[in-house]
Amino acid sequence: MFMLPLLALPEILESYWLHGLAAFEYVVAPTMFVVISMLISKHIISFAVAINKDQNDELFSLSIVAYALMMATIAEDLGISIEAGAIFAGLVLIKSPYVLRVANSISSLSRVFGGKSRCNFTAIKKIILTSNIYFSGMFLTSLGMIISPEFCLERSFSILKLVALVFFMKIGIVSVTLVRLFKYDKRRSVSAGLSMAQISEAGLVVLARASRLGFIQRSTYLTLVPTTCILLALAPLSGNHL
Amino acid sequence: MIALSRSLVVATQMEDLPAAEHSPLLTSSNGAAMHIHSPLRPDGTLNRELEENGELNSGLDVTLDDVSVELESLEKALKAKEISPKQLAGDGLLSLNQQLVVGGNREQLGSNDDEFDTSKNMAVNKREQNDNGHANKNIFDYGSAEFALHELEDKLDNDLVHMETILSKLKNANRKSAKLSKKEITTDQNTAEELQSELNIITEDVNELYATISVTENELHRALDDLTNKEKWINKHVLEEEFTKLIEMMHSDRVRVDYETGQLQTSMGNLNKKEAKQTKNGVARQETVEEHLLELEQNAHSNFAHKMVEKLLKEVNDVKQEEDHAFMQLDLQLLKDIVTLAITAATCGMLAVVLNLPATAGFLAGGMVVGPSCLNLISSVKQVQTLAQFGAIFLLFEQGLLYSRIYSESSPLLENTKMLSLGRAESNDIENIHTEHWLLQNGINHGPNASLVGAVVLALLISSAFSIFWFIEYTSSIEESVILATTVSICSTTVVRDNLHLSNLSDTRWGRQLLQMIVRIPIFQSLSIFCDSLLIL
Repeated sequence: MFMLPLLALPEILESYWLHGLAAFEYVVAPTMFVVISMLISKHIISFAVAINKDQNDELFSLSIVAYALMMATIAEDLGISIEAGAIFAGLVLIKSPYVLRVANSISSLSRVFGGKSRCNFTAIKKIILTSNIYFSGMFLTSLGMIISPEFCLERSFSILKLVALVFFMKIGIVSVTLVRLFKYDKRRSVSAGLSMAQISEAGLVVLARASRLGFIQRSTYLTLVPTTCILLALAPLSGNHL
Repeated sequence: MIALSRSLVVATQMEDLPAAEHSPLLTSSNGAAMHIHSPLRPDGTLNRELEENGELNSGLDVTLDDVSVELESLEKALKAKEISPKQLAGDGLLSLNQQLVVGGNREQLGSNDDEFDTSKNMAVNKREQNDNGHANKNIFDYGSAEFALHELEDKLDNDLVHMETILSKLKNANRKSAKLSKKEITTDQNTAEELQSELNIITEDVNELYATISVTENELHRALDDLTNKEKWINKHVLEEEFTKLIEMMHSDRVRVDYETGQLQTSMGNLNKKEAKQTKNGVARQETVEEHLLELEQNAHSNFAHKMVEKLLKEVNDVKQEEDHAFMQLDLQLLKDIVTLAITAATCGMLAVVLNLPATAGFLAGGMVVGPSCLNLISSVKQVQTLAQFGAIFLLFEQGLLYSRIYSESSPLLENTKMLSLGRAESNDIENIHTEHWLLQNGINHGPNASLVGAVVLALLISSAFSIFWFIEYTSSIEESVILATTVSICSTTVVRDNLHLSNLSDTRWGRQLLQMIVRIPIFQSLSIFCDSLLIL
């Protein structure tokens, strides 16, 4: 629990480093946010549950959505990023007994907007039958909108190099450490490495922030974004072969 | 001959001065025109021979002397004129300044058209004044230019009359000389012939003068046309300015729709600078935009103005619909964009799945194709991406929930059962929880601690990535490589979970351990970024 404030710290420190503002604000703001969110979240969730005793799902999920968005905007106002706020909003519910219900109420929404890649062929057949995830992937699609195909074609070699580098580096290091240090068997270690051989979409957010703050060169950012996308896109493939 | 002429000077001064004073050739106050007088007046010495010859000779000789000087000046003037019309004809609108210059030249040369030039200059000056005035005012002094032209025409007529009088005098003189030649045969016949030829030249010159006068008249007409054109242009310009101002105002917050009447109102209550000043000084008053538009329509005389007003009315209607808070608003473009995005996402995802590729790849490819750097199908990119940020928020919120869920799953049994009883889960998740529950009952955390494994793996990943990036000199600075290494080493929890779920590993102890390890990675990673930042600081 005590580690949670650290999640917001990179943003804060980056901005501190860049603007040379008083660190006080940036220490106080996130801690304030954490305290507020912990206080609010408990009450909100319990209130929502209390109101919706007769299992009124729509109202409950709506209030959850409002809660998540509110936390995100509060975080943004306090100088922490929207994303950190959203993660907090979820993390603060650790002690809450209603986590599962909250997750279920929000899952359909995040499926529409977020586009989780839960697809192998049988799953897709199921999806087509139930026809509930036609609008998935809004986020990923608009993520793709940032990428310029021309640039990708021009730099395809360096991008592929980077993809291969990250992919094999991750597999190698994860499997070797698991085998050597923790004495897991080889097959499992390699599968763990395979499943971990991508870059998180949260990494993209960090990258965008860093490049906007001038920490990363534009060219590196531009090559890393397609790399991340390719790795993300390849992840389910590697997952199929576990 | 010269003596004769000089002897007659005084008499001529007596006779011809009144006429000369009226003549444009002589009366001009210009220095050059004075030069024409100069041979006459200093030579005021009396010659008695001339007195003997009597009055008959006087008119002729004076005119001859006069005419020779006049001719010179005329030639000069004509030369000046020959240059000027060409220049003026070539340059059209831009000739304003040149006209000024040429006019100035003419004045210096002492042309006969000094009055023309001055009046022309007046007209030009007026025009310039008007042009300058139009930057500030909307009113154009149309009449003044016309008035100037009329004046000019009058003067031209006067000049022509004077010319004719001179001509008649010349003819008289000619006749007198003829009489003289009859009376006194002893006088030189050559002088009569010379006189005749000079008279011919004079008539030619006068004709030329007519021609040049007509040319200048044409020029003046052209100048007037330019003036009217310019006036039209300025009117257009002013109207356009007003138009854009109004539109800007409507798109800013200064215009609102009255809730009751449904009319557009400006919150400042003004459309002109004057009015703004008034409102600043006095009481702010409300003025409907419609009223102003009506005014504009009434004042609009040309087709162009009417078109502009119509356009403006359309725009006003649009803004009215936008600003009216009594109706639901709809941004049709945004809706279309979202629909495009959704359709492309769906189709590309499906295509990717049919091609046995992950749907994520399809989404990304679809976004790439639709996006602004390729097909540019989506116009309001900002809004759409903001909407997509909702996706990011929900995604990360869910991720946070996932952490807390896994965390609570690994915590004591009681909470799990509580969660199971309270949470209303889908059948799938209930099954999951059942199995997890069972797993938890059958012993937790055999083998090494997940946190420790996660920390070690992450540390190794980051350090190796950093060293790789640093040693191949992919990055330029330490901070850059640190950030790159840390971002590269995060892996997506959702993806891993889905992978495990798909490969039916998520129920096993190994899968759970792996997941726990990966879930802890971002936390450690944030810690590591924190340390990095401290180092950098």
